[in-house]
Amino acid sequence: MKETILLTKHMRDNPSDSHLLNSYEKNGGYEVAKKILKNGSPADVLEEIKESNIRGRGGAGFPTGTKWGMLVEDQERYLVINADESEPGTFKDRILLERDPHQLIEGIILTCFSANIKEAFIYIRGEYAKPARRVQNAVEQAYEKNYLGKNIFGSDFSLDIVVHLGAGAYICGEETALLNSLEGRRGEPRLKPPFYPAVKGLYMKPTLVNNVETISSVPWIVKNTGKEYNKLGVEGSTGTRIFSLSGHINRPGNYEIEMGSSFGEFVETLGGGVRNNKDIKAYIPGGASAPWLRGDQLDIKMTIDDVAQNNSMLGSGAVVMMDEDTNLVSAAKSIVSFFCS
Amino acid sequence: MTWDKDLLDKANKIIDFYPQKRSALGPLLHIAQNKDGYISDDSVEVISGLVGITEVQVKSVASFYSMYKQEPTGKYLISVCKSISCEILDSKSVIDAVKDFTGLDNNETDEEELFTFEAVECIGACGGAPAVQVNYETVEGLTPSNAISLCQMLKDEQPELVNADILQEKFGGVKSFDWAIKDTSGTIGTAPGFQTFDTDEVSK
Repeated sequence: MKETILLTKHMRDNPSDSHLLNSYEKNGGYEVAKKILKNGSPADVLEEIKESNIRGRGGAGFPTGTKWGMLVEDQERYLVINADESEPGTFKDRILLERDPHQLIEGIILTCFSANIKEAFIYIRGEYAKPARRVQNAVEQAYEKNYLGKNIFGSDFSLDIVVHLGAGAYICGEETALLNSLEGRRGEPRLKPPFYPAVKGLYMKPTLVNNVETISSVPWIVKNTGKEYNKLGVEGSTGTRIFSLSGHINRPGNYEIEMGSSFGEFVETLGGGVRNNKDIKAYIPGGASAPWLRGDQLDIKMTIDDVAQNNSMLGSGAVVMMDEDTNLVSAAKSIVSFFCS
Repeated sequence: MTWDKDLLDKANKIIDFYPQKRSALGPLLHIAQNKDGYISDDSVEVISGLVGITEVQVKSVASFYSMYKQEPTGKYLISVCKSISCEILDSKSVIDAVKDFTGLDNNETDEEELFTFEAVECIGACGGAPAVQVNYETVEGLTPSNAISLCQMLKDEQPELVNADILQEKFGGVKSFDWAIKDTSGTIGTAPGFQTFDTDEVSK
């Protein structure tokens, strides 16, 4: 089993300076955004996203093209990037924020151009101070080169980005709670209806709320076409996905893979196997909210649908492995106390 | 102490980023936290005036979020993660080591106002478990003895700037991923170090 490197390519090829604008640009960054803003149309971007069949990477797996298509007309519309990554086990957005912030910014430019949005917010959890500093630096660099601000790349499209820091509340990962928080309120989920921020979101205006990884995928998809992206992975779980692997593993970390391999294969190959050659007693396939699976269920395929059929969920892509010596009661207590906090 | 002109200018600049004033409430509370080490009544009054909401509304929001402290904190806020990936890699022993060294229980501050200790939920460092933050600067792959060395260093040297990379190099172990980029920026108080708030600094 090997990784398929799309989103993490630039950071791997240029480890020491992948966060800088000139490094990103030297390696083809912002090319597709320039091309689209000069010669493309908003519909071109939406078409590629729909054809890619990408589903949201925040946990719910909602089809991104469908979400964008639901955004209602209004003079004022917003994009909010959900970078409130706080589902225990998950640290994949952190690497995208820290090591390739310009990829996210280019994704925001393309998304906002497609949806005719003039203002975007990146809501980063407050505990991610270093990632937030990196993103803010990148935003400032982009403004200096007029890749943000008025008439981007000499086109008639203008866009502002504000980096906003949260202040410690897991619930703000839920999109309506996040919007309340961004409005300067307590981060409590809103009563429904209205059901979708795409209809009534930030300041009750139509708002797209998308995850960091989802929007970081947009430049690759638009550059290489949705059709090519759709060829990767399996039906219903197309493209690549960054899985955060942790627990009793020899090589914990973030791995970008096509969905469709089994959890067992993932652990044995990329994860380097279980520490001290122990057996797995149980594992979490998709973050703390996901029901646990047993060690004898490692042959389940890592797709949204396969995991759902086994009564759990792929969620945020956080895989936590627990070996045979784990006290599962203590582990379960940790999860319960998390949701009580 | 009320807010001086510099701080008020900064606050008004932040308010201008947003389509509606109230959205700046969170950032202004971070600035208040950095200023006094907690959300003081003075700051509540100032922020209420700046944003145009009542003091009760400011307090209601401030009390909702864990990073806005209601009581004065120490110079160093030590937050040890206790969520699942850290828990199964024995974060408890790190928690016990920090508690022993500081003599503090959860959410307590020592008399010298040097340390505040808290056991917290996931800080997104699960691949580098067990992990800890000092003033929201992350250190991964900690052992109990390295946790004690870290606290001892803070006590002896009392650095103004807390920087994740320096702490990681001295006291850390396994990381969630290769940090790769050399980073000299860090935090100067008990709010996250962030350039928009002026709560960050770059070490020389």
